[in-house]
Parts: sequence; C-alpha cells; structure tokens
Amino acid sequence: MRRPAIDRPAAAVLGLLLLAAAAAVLDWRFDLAGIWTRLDTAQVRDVVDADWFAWAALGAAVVLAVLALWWLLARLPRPAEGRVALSSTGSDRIDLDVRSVAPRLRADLDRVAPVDRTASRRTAVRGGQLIELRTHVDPRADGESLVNAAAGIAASVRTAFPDGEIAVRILVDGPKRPGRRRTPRVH
Amino acid sequence: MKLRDPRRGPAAAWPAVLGALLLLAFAALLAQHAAAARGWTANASWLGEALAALDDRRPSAWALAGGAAAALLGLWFLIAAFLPARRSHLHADGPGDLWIAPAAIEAVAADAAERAPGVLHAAGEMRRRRLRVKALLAPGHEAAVADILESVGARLGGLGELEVSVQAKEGAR
Repeated sequence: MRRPAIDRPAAAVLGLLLLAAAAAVLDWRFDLAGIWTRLDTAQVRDVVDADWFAWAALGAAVVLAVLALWWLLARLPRPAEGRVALSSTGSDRIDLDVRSVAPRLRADLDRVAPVDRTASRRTAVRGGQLIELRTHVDPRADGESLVNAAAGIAASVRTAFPDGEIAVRILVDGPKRPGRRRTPRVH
Repeated sequence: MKLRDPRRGPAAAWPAVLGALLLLAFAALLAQHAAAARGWTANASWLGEALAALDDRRPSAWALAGGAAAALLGLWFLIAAFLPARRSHLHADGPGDLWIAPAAIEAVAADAAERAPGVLHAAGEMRRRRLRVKALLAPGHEAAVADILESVGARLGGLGELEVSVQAKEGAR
C-alpha cells in the first residue's frame, strides 16, 4: 500500500468543507447567524436551471470522477521491476535479474538469526531497489546475534552489489505466537 | 541511497479513501443533474430536489442527520490530516540496516528476566527508548532485581541505547 503525498492536504481541505456544510445546517436549524433568512433561493434556482449549468455540471463531474479514481488508484502497490541495471564504465549495459535475491536473503536470515517466518518485499527507491525483510523474533533471541546476522546479510549484499543497486533492510517484529513455547513438552 | 525510517501507516490514509469515495458520489450527483437537465433520463434532478428543499423554514430530519455526519467526518478528517505517522521500529546499532519493534524488545526482555533466579513471571513494557520490566518474584528473592537488570542488559546488548528499569513485586507466600 503506497501513501500518496496528496492525502494530508486533501483530507484537511475536505474536512474544512464538511465542517462548513455542518455549520450551514446548524445555522439553518437554529438561525444563529441569520444567513439562511437572507439567502435568496430564487437566484440559486436561476443559476441551476440555466442552460450552461448542465454542461458545467457534466464537466465538473468528469473532472471530479477522474481525480477521485486517480486518488484511489494511487495507493495500490506498484510492483518493482524484476531487474536492475548494474553501473558499468564501458558502453555495455548489464541488467541483472534480481527476483531471486529476496527469497535467498529470506532463507539466509531464517538460518543465521533467531527469527522465524520472514517475509520479503522489494520496492523501487531512488537509485536502486530496497529489499525489506520483515520477520518475527524468537523470544529466546539476544541482541548480539540479531545485530551480527543483520551485519552479515548487509555485508553479503554489499559484496554482490558494491555500487548499492540493491539495499537490504531488516525489520524485526514481536513474536508471532506470544506465550506459546515451541519446545515439545514430554510428559 | 537515502531511505526513510520505517513508520506506521499515517492516520490520513482512511480519510483519504473515504474522501475519494465522497468525491465520486458528488461527481455522480452532478452527472445525474446534467443527464436530467439534458433529458437523457426521465428522472427528476436530485440536485434540483435538494435545492427545492432549501425553501423550507426548518431543515428536514435527513438534512440534520447529514449535517451531524458532516460535522463528525470533518472533525475526523481534520485531526487525521495533522497526526504524524509514528515510527514503528527502533534503529539498532551495527553496520546492518536493522530495526527492532518495541514488541520484540518486550518479548526478549521478558524472556531474559524470567530466566533470572527467583523470578516467577516477567513482562516488558516499552515507552520510546525506555524499557520497564515488571517482575513477580518468588518469596525471599528480593535481591533478584540486580540479576534481572544484568540478565536483560546482557540479552539486549548491541541493540543500542536503552534505559532499563525493573519494577519487582514479591509474590505472596
């Protein structure tokens, strides 16, 4: 799920508009500011019944619908490209298929660190791609082994991609099943 | 490569989805008015009917309900627009790009504390970079607090600066 930058300003503007509508209804009901008694509905009806208003409404409807659909679709995740271009000094261009990197790193992390159920996500960032490994800690883990495992994986990625086309980030979440021990109990 | 810190989803995400749907509904209202005015549909214009209701002295129950809903939604939108997306993980020291969730630190600390002698039960609680371990001690083990601190500190070593405090309670005999 991506987060479009327009979310915040648009939510603020819509919130203000909704509050203004609520204030108008409040004034209508309790006649606080007296705007409603001064409102000339005949003028409003004249504008709405005018010939040009139908076309203007149609145009506004199309523009608003396109904006709303774009706003909805902008938050769908966009899959990262399957390959990255290695930087080279010559005139040749080398594209490397990186789809197999994430499963390999996932297996590595599960093997060397006290974690389980690692998931991975590859996203495009400026200047390359980021592989985010998201995993669950084993409560019996210690900080040292987690740090060492992360350092080892980062080092292996840096060896494979010295120019930083691929970066790896490890997020460790809480245990998957809190309170349940995996050691079998023998009665 | 400069990367952003991992964060929770911002509070404005749901209002944004709802706002897009509201925009779509408003677009449908305008399009229906245009269709009714041009004679493409036999129905009367909904916008025209709504404007005709403006002549009433008092708003109808529907208009009042709509106003109340608009007030609540507007407040929610406005508050959510200004709430920052909170950090979801703490950065750990070391050369790797490692981030630990507070829940993970709590679980590891609780496990470490429970392994100290004389501890019956332990639970961790993280607040920013402060970890508080609540422990239930077996009777006659008042000195276990130092053991807990040592055990938790050794277990979490390497994860970065953490302020650890222990709150111990002696179990009833």
